[in-house]
Amino acid sequence: MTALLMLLFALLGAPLFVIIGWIALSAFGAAGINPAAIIIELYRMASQPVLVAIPLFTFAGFLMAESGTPRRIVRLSRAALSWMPGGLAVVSLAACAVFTAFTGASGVTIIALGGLLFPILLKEGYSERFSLGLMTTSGSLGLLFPPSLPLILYGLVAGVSVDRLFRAGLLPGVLILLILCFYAMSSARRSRIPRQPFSWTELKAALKESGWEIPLPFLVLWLIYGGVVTAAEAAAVTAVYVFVVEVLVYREIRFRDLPALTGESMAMVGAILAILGCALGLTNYLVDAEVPQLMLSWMEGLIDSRLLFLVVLNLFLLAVGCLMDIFSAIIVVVPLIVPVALKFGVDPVHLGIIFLTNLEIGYMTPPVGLNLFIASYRFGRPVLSLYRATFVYLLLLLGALLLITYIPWLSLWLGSMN
Amino acid sequence: MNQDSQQTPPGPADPRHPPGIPWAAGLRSVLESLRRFRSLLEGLEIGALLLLLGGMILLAFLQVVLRQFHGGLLWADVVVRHLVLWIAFAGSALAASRSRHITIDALGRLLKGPLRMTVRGLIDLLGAWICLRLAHAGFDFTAMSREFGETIDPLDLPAWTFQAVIPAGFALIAFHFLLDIPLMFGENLPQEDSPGLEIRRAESDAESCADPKGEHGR
Repeated sequence: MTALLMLLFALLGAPLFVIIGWIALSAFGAAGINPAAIIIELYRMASQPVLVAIPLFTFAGFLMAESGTPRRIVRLSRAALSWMPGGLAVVSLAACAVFTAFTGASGVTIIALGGLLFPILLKEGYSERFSLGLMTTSGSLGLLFPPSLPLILYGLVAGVSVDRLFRAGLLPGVLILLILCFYAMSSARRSRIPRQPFSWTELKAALKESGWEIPLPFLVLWLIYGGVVTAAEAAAVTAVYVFVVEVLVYREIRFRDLPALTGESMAMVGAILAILGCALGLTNYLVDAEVPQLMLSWMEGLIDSRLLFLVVLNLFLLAVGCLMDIFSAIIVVVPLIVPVALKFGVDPVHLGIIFLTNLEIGYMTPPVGLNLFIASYRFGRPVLSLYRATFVYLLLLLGALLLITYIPWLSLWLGSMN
Repeated sequence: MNQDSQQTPPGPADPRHPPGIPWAAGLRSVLESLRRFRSLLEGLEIGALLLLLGGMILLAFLQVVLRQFHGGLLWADVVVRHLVLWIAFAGSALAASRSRHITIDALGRLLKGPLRMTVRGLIDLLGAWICLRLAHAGFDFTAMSREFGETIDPLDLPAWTFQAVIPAGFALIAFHFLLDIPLMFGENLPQEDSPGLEIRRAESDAESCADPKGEHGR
């Protein structure tokens, strides 16, 4: 009865952290444990160094989204890449991937970059359907590249080294990007989009304009892959660097913008961490009650091979991706499936990459993928036409998902190096 | 701190709203002061967030720099980690005030009119009830920690001073949920949005009008 009521409230739009807190309180109550035990688990938030990265990267991402960075990224990648066939489409993919990696796939990419790129795509002769699909898909591209927030969160929840995940995501991320680039190039060739002449002057000017921002991705990559600092420390360096560049050098963010910007970004951080805090209590109870073991023995009766497990996992995660946003999905689902996956011989690092790729696709899966709605709003097109426009991209991404799932080497080759 | 979002709110003696039903003006002014109170609260929360986040950025960066030379400050790590907890609660309170908490809103968006308001009120009540129970649990936790004399190690400060944010934070979130119930009725009054930033506002508009996962529902 209570369970039904909880489900009803969740579907009616009660905050997820309230529902999770409710479940935790009821579970501990039923087991006769003092609910202070939930708080003991919640307090573990203060003993996880990697959590520090979440507010810092989020703040840096918001600073960049509000400044002239999106415009400069577009100009630079246009100057560098639009001489290729399908150049502008490739530009969009590359710019969006970099931007999403830093802003954490919260829909900001479509809002900030889509508005700049979509009109240019149309002007250069790309069809509306192609351009809409491209921009919607690009909204969650780059999820697998450092310093993506979902990767950090997965590492934290699954107990896997974030540095390893950052390495593991590299090849699969590039694979997805390449598949989409090839598609963009071939369809540009088919619709005879004229190539743009390459201009050294423009490239030089663009390089000069974004001179302060170009080092940032390299700095982050060097810090993280070079093993110089941990993810949390890299976040601190990024936050300081971005603050100095946007506020003091470019001066596009004024000091009086900072309170509103801090409020917006930290409200998002608070929303994520509220779920995490309550879920820590609940997860602890579930593990004590041996729920993962129960799930495991139940699944072992139905599934006998690793391959079949991966198929079921993919289908399950696609459904999750349609229903939940990426942060809650990680916090709620990961603790339950990691032990099961381990039993079937799936490496937790590989699982993380599968997980995030699935959710990336879930963002654009009809009927309720979040990116479809954000794009519909941003570009003023009905959601139905977005279903049509993203269909090809959906198939391509599903293809990439199959490769990533069934070729563990893609994730583990770099991921298992030390 | 300048979250003074209420530009020229219609006061009780506002000529644009001629006296109609006698109690309507009174109700309106009560709602108006509640709304102002919430803005004040949000302003305080943003102020706290500025301090906490600023402190976190500075301390974490200082640690990175110092580590390149010697060990870094012993106390800074533990303080930075607790700042995460504080930011979580201050940000969460702000999210509650702005209805930005993450939801799976599959049915709620289908509702219209009074039914929608009723459901929203029930959700607010549920949220307040759960948060108060969690605040109570948090209070017990803090009291136990105080009783056992736990300390935050290198600082030699009692741990409960850092932990007190847990019960206080949950209580504040509960308060925001309760505050939403009367203020939901005041939403038809002419009002200015808080001075958000263009992009975020556009995005939250997008999400509130068409967001299937109801990330920032209602």
